[in-house]
Amino acid sequence: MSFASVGAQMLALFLAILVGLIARKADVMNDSVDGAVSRLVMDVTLPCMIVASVFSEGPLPSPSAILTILGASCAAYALIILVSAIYPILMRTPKPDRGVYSFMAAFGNVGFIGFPVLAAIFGPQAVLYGAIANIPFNLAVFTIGAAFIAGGDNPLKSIARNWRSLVSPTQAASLVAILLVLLRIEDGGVIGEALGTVGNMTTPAALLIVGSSLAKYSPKAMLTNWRAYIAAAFRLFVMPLLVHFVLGSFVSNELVLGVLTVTSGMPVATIGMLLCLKHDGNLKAMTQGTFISTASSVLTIPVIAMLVL
Amino acid sequence: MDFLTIASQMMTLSLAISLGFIARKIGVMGDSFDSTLSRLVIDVTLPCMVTSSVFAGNNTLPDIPTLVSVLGYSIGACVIVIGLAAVLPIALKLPSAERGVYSFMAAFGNIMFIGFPMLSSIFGPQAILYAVIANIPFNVATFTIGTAFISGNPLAKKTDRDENAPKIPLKIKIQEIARNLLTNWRTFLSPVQIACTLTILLALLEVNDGGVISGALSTIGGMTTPAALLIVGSSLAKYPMRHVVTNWRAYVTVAFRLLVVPIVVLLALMNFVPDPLLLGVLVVISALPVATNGMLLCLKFGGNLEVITQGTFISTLACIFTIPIIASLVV
Repeated sequence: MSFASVGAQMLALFLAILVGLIARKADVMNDSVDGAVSRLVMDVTLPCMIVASVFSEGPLPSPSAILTILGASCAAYALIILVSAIYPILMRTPKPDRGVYSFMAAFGNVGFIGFPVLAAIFGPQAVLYGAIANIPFNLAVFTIGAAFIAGGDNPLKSIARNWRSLVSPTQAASLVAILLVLLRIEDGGVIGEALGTVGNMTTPAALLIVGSSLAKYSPKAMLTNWRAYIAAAFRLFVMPLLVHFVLGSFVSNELVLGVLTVTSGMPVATIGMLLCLKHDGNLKAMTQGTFISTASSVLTIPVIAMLVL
Repeated sequence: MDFLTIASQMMTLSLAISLGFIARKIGVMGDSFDSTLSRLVIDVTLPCMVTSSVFAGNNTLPDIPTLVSVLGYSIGACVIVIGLAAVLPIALKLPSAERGVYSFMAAFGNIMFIGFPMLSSIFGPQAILYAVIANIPFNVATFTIGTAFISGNPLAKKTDRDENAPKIPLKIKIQEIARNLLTNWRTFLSPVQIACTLTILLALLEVNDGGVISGALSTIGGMTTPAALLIVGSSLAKYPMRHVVTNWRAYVTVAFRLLVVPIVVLLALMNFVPDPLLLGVLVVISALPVATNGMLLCLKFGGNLEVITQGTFISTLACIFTIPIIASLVV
């Protein structure tokens, strides 16, 4: 795909986010709409989109390719988590807040922004790859991620508190998708179409919610913490570049490498704010990082996408 | 269209609707959620879908005479539908006070919320442009004739009360309708109506390349169909299933609405309308389940709310199966 057409795709996504922002300002969207719609997306439409991605055009990945994706994804997250754990110390973050900054650098918003971007850049097949690559992420976010934020707490305890989150509909859908691929079920027939129809809601709904959630904060309060900028820069630039160049020497499949690079350049995961609420982390810093990274991802994701195309 | 395509369309629709149904049963969807989501659809995603239809045709737009003829044919279809609807209750031997509600159910379908998404999934986004134009006469008719159908009651009561009073003169009826139009003028300024006007304007100006904006509009507009189907499913789940509808007239009216009316429209127009897409749009638009604003009008003007709720429920459920059949007659 050419530079111009990816640029146009990303601009279309950006305009869709803008519509969400305007909808919030016009009071068509608000906290309760955002909460309800994002629950519907996470519990219903995103799982549909993931399963439907198996039935999209293009050859299914072979079992060994699935292992490659899973392995490469584990390696990518190991790398990302290692770097995330170290950099807050370098910027002399007060100790209780370190975990929050680590979380911000480590975990991106794959569900809401990653899948729509993958679908726009590489087509629906990339959603399947993204879903498989996302499995280690989902496991890590509720174990290591929660432990980051819980900080002083016993990490095992925080895992125990979050184990239910490990079996989310999205995670189940990813496993179903892998199973379908392993069984070589390529034609979903009517069920595939119905899943596709419902799954089509994911991208627009997610973009509207992202836009609406950006409009919620006053930019002034969001932009005054320099560490949040560094965290956003790590999240949006350092991580994808690291993944691209380190994994680039091992992973030969271009789509796999592209999917891993793009998904590791996503803005801070919104689950971070929920985990901060739950484990009493520094919510303000987390919100600032989420806001800055989400707003700037509109520019950085296309740049990263250029790198892999 | 072969049987398999029809069957798969039915299955796709019913599976998507069932998901909404299940989502309501397990508490992911609910009353307040449905209304917030449908507001988002009606105010944001549907207008985007409508506007993006201008850009959907690979840079070819129907020329102005065609657009005018679309309006002409849809006025024709609208007249046929309302004519049939006005006669039906008499054939059902309904008392005159009850007639209006049944006429309304037979005449007005849910064009925006169910029609547009259905048309887009059956015929592709280009169909929406035609549907936008075809919707004009139906829209005007809903707020004039439709209101008169439902508000027929209070006027009739007035005459019953006073035997000596002269018949309600036409002038008062017109005043009533004009007042209703005035109180409803805001509906003509809703985002969907603005989008419809904008779409027609763009088509008349032959603006058919929206560039990146059209990409954004169709991205957001893409939410309309799945969201509408989920909401339909959830709203069906709300209806107490044990409450079996025993009112046979509601079934007859629904059969009339979903099958008889579109077939008559098809037979009447198929010799005049050359474009199969346009014919398809006109026929499917007259095959939609009962318009939900019927319930609102009943609340406002004291129509029989129970009957219209029954009709809306049965027709919405049955349309999953009838619309693909009707569409297959055209394509």
